[in-house]
Amino acid sequence: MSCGEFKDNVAAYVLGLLEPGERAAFEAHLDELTAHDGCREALAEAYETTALLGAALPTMQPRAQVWQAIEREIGATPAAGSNVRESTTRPAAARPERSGRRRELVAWTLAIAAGLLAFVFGMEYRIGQRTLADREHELDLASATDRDKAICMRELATARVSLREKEAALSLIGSPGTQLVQLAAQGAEPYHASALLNPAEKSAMILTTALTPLQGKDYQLWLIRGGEKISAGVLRTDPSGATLARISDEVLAGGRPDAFAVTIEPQGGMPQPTGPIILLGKVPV
Amino acid sequence: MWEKIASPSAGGYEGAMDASSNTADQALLARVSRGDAAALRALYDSCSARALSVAHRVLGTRSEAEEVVQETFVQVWRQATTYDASRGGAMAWIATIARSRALDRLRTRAASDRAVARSEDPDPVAEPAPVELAAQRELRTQVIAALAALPQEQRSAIELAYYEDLSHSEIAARLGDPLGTVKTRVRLGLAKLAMLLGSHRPGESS
Repeated sequence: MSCGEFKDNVAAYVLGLLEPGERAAFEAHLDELTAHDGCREALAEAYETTALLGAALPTMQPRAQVWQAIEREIGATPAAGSNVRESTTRPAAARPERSGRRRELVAWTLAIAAGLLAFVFGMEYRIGQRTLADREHELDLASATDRDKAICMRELATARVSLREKEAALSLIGSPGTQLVQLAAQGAEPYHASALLNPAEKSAMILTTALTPLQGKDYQLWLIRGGEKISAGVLRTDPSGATLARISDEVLAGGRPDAFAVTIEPQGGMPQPTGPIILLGKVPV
Repeated sequence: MWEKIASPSAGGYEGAMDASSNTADQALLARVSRGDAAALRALYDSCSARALSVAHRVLGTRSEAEEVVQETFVQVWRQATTYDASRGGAMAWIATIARSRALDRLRTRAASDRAVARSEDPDPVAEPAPVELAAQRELRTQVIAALAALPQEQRSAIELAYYEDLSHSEIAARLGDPLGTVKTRVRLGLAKLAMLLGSHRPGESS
């Protein structure tokens, strides 16, 4: 399917009008490794537009018991619930008007931005928060390598993994020719990972933090080489979200990868990625 | 996003970062994915009315539509980690989930039940919230005007597909149009709506 055909089908897809075969071809197109011509944007726009159809309907408000049932079902904890109850009991008449709602949104945005800034400055080693473009413009490769090593060592120090695994990672970091690849978060979540890659020795490890275990889903690591996505397996993280794992020789046998990526996939992993990319790092040439 | 990896030159990575830049709602979704119930409540405050309206339009009864809203937000709570920006903003994602769950219910319902259910609850504006109504009036007026600006056959095709779960061929039969024409009408109609309502999509409001 070409990008043009994809965009012609976006409306029919979002409205559920495609036949199963057409639907599968449409969904497969998004994963194609071509330079897409605004395909994701066209899909997002179609979802936005169809969602606006509902704004033309008579206005309804769910009754209070709907939120109470949600709260029960998600098992909102008392700590989170203190805020929640306050807003639940807020009378409908006191709901903010449009301008108030805007202010509320602005306040949310500012609070979140401030939180992110504090996070970034508080943990400046998480350079994954910065754009890759910034990093590419930093041409001082020697200092970049030192900095990456420092990041990796600090992550290794905080990761709750066995001493034996830590020693293996330290040995790899110390080997001549080992490259450190920082995997940057591809969304709001402060995920981070470092890949240690020694192409000559065909040896590699992945070190992650903040990959909180998921219910019914798994994090899956991918090596990208010449446009191919090769599964390097599912990442088993501890409750703190840390893991340190060796990448199998078999996966590395095909040569130096171009990039590492992590996606969220159904439990047990998938042969090819289907979920969103949450971490991405290009291997420096 | 995979295409960004294959084309690392010419700002491919910057594009990937821009695409995931935070809107307030997406940041709320990120908090929800970390188990923040207050963030879910904030999304519920801004999106539950739309979800209810859509579910009610599909199902015809308030009680069932409210069950759909409940299921929708529980699903948002459980699946916020899988949200991806190609599904539109948070409101679009939530409305899409609500529509899809309502249509699932519609499919499992016998046609005779459907007729009964629709007659049970004739008043969709049973519980209007006056202030909320004022806040949404402007948007509602604009969407109604935009829909009215579409040729009748485009509007009907879109509404039949969105609310009634009809296939291409069923819509074609209902409207008496050739099959190929229906797809074209849906595409042109949605493109025109997007153009008319562009300023109401998140990140584009003036």
